Amino acid sequence: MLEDILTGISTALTFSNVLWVAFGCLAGTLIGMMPGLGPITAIALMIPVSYSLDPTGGLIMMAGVYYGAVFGGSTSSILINAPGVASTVATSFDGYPMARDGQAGKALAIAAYASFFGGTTGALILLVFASSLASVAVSIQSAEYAALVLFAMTCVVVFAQKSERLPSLITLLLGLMLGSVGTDQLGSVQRFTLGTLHLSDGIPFVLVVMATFALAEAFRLAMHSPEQPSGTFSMRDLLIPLTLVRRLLPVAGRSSVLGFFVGVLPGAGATLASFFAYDLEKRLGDGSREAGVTAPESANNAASTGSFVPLLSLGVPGSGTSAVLLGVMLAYGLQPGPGLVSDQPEIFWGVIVSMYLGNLFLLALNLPLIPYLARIVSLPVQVLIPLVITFSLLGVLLTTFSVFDLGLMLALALVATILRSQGFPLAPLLLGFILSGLFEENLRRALLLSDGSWLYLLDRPLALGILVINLAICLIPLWNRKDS
Amino acid sequence: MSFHWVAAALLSFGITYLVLANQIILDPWSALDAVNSRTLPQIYGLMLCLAVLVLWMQRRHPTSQGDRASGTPAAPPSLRLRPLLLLSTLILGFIVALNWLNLWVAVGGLVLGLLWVMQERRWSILIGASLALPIGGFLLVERLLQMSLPIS
Repeated sequence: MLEDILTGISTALTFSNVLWVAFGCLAGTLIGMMPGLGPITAIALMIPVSYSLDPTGGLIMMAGVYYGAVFGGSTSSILINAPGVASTVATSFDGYPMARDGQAGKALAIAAYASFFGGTTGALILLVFASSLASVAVSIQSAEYAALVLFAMTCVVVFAQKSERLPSLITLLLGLMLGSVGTDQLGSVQRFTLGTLHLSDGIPFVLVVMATFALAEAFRLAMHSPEQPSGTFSMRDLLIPLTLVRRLLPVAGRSSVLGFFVGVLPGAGATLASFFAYDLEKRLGDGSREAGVTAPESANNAASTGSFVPLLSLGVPGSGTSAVLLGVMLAYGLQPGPGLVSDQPEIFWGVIVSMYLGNLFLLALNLPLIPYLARIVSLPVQVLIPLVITFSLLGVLLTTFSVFDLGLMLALALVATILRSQGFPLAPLLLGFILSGLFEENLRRALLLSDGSWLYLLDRPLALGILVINLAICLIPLWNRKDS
Repeated sequence: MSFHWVAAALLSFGITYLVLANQIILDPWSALDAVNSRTLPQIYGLMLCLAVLVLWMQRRHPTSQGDRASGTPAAPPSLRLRPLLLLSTLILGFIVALNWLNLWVAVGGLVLGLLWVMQERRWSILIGASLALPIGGFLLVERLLQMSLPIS
């Protein structure tokens, strides 16, 4: 393992990879800071750039974009109460009132330190546990994969807010349906192509991401016209008194550990982690505003790192963002999972080590830049929207070279905008789209191996265990209803 | 657009998908498989129809507090449809224009149009952005990254 870690360190520390981490962090922060644009949008916008890099450099940059965007989202959350993503909503509960009381700099600095702490703790836990998780993952075959993917999909629906469970199921199914378009890999038959060759290879995932997140987000901003931010920031605000640091350190510690393990659960992710941590601090901690910013920030960054565990070692994305990253890996021809750990350790460990580097960069780059970076948040909506739309269209065009795909993208974006306006979450759609192929392929392969016997799934202890947990999770809503 | 129209559209989509799933032509070997090319799409289509119907019923007749909560969208939208229509028309125009125009020329036009639709009236921004983006894009994509675009 030590040898693998050293391989990872040497990979992550090459000049070009260090540069890509720094670039990813900066780009992620800049995009994540813009109102409404979160990690998924940031990663989607950077996909065309990543395609010009080698797989290691591309993934390292994308990981940088991911936690850069998570951190950037906190900035708009604190400054203008406009969380770009759900995972930074909890930060705004206490961060925005602090900003309103003239403590914007202090809140941003606490968020930066807490993010660093959470991200670093997550990276260290990942470094220790990734290998053992990966060795467990070696025993995973088609049956277990199918059960795991089903588990991830179940979590997305069951762990959603109560009012969003059915809408989540509907968008998840829509994603699965979109993923079934094209030539069936195992049966070699055309499905839902409507007789056009444009759809015979399926719908490109870049198109779905750009349509449902970047373009739909631009449409939403144009229809809602959010308030413009304002305010001034100085470097002095970034200094935190030592007494406060001592008080917040245990908060950051427990929130990070909690966040990491919640982040590992497929479907739970950074949002749940940040809410759990905030709630825990408000119930059990001192209840101060500073702790209210520290807890969700440490938790969501640790959870972002935690979500890489199922993604890298099992090939199962734990959140919408890691689903996009899974798509990026598949586009590179990489198959995340046990094979990645054993066959390409330089990529696996390089990405993990780069996470620690990325957190250092985030702190070094962002702390002194906070007063200046914050001005990007005040980019007028009338300029921001055209930029997002143009980059989205170019992003799809430059990867597919198809005008037909642009039309399909517009249609999907309009559908996504309508669905979102009716309270349908879009992350499950993306998750369903990405998992569609994985689920069908593994389920059918498992059944081919067993001559079509469904009992084969129950004969394998791990698959059976996952299915039992899955069933138990499905019963949670019924249990809650009984309780209430 | 009201929820009922959305639900009706989703239901129609589910039914159409189900019909198309039943029309998938299978080869004689895979037709005998426990799960063939048709099976999962059929399940997805059926589940979508059922889920939409249940949600529709919940929103029509909220019986419990939970149902009432799910009966209302997260934030009652006060949507401005005009920008959406204009932006969509512009994007559609851009897509059609790509058949005749050079990509970067079309991008310049698109940026100018989008800024105008979004009520940007400063000439420095209008001219600057609609020139800088296509020129920057051309230099980055076609010169720096050496990508040859069949479309341009």
